[in-house]
Amino acid sequence: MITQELGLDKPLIVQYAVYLGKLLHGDLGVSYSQHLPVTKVLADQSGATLQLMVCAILLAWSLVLTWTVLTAGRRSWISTLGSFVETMAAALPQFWLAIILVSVFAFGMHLFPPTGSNGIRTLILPSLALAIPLAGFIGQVTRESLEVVLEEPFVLSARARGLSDLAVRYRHALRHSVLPGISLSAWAIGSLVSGAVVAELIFSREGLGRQLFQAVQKQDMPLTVGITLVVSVGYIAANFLSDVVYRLVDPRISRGAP
Amino acid sequence: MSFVATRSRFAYRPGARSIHWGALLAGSFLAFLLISASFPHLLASLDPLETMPERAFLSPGWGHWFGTDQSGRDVFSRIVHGSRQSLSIGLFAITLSMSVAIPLGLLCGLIGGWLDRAVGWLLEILFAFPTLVLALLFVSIFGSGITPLIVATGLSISPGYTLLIRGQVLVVRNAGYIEAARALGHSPWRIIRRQVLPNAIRPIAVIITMGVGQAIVWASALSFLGLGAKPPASEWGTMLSLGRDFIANAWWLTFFPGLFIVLTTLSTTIVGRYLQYRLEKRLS
Repeated sequence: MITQELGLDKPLIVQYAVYLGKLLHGDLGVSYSQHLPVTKVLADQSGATLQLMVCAILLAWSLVLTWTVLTAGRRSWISTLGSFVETMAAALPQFWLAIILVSVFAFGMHLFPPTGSNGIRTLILPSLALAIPLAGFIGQVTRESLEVVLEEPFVLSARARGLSDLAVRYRHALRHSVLPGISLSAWAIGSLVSGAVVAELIFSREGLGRQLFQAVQKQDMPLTVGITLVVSVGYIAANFLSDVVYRLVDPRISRGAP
Repeated sequence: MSFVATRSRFAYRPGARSIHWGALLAGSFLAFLLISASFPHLLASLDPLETMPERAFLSPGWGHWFGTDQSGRDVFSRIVHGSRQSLSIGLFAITLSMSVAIPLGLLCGLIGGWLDRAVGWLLEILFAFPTLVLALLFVSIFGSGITPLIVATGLSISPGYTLLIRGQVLVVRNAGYIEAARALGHSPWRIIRRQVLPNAIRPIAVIITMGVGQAIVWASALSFLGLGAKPPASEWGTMLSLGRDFIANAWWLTFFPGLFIVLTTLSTTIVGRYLQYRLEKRLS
């Protein structure tokens, strides 16, 4: 009877067609482990993860915009130190960083709550744990292109016009060197999802990462597939968004190559 | 940890002097790890499994460099003895991933056409898929334990490496000297054997060096989530996971195993970049 109810008596290909048909109507099935419609779980949990990831990307970029932009193309020891810090940051595993952040800032200094997912104070440590390695990667790419750009004639002419070093870096050189970093950030969405799994587990946060971990452990296929779908859509959306930002940063792209 | 850290176009090119020192330090750390994996008793005299409840939670100091854990086991000695497991998981995983990635990457890059497009498309999809999620799926198929852990880690990092190797083959295939060899009338097989393979294989050595560190991180992430080596094994990810319960009062239980993971990745990255730098210098 259950076999009939679940449509398991039909051939596999028919079952798949039925599944796809339901998918088109926005029906992702019912989670085995939670006995809730998958779409409801997704709707409840997506917000927290989205918040975490957006916050992590913004933090990563603000780290890059200060650390990398200020140390690239300086005297050799400053540049070497700068890129060493970036390599180091990129090598940090998110799960270890998360634990260190908790033990220093939550248990040591009592600045932030160690767990939870309500309010901005619980968001800072997990997003830092994701942002620091990401900043290391974006920083390495940005440094490389910034050091090329700083040798360009237009930088020399901007300096000759009497612009300060900071103005040259932020108003002229930066725009030419952030493009690889932007496409890398869209590309890093996948890794941020891996990070979100770890961060949400360590900080006991709500979210898709934690749900995914539990779904995989309980072999809850409908939920696993549902979360995977959301992640894929997010990946595509992020790539689209990075194309839009690309055009905003470098208007030459939409006008076509000269 | 999770980005393919090793794409050559993202590599920084530090001054010739600094990289020698960095590579020297990184190389000696890796040598230290090799010694501790092969002869752990030389470096740590205390038994990593012997429990002494009266010595629980000693903070780092003389006698116990990295402190002791909840059962009074010496953390330094556990890390040294655990290095064999962590390193071999990393090495086996990268070997597995390369035995998938190298043939597939060579095939795509050399044959091209519809095969390349089909496989490339599939790989792009898998590559966009979060590595940890892929690994979790493999674990749910194969079960947890050391061997599934190696298989899951190796398979889930292979799409990125396949793409990397394919790119490398494409670069070599379109190089001037191939055109020259063709113009000389050499057979395609001879060109592949004498020109393409030797030139594509060298960068792969760099990729493998850096990949070991990545594999160790991924494997320890899975152990950390409780899906890999089981206690009382002192695999580094497992140690981190056990120490997590005591972060409020014993920071050294999580700090030192993690530090070793970081130093290992950092060292393989630095050594890999050094190899790459030497390679580029020799080619130019």
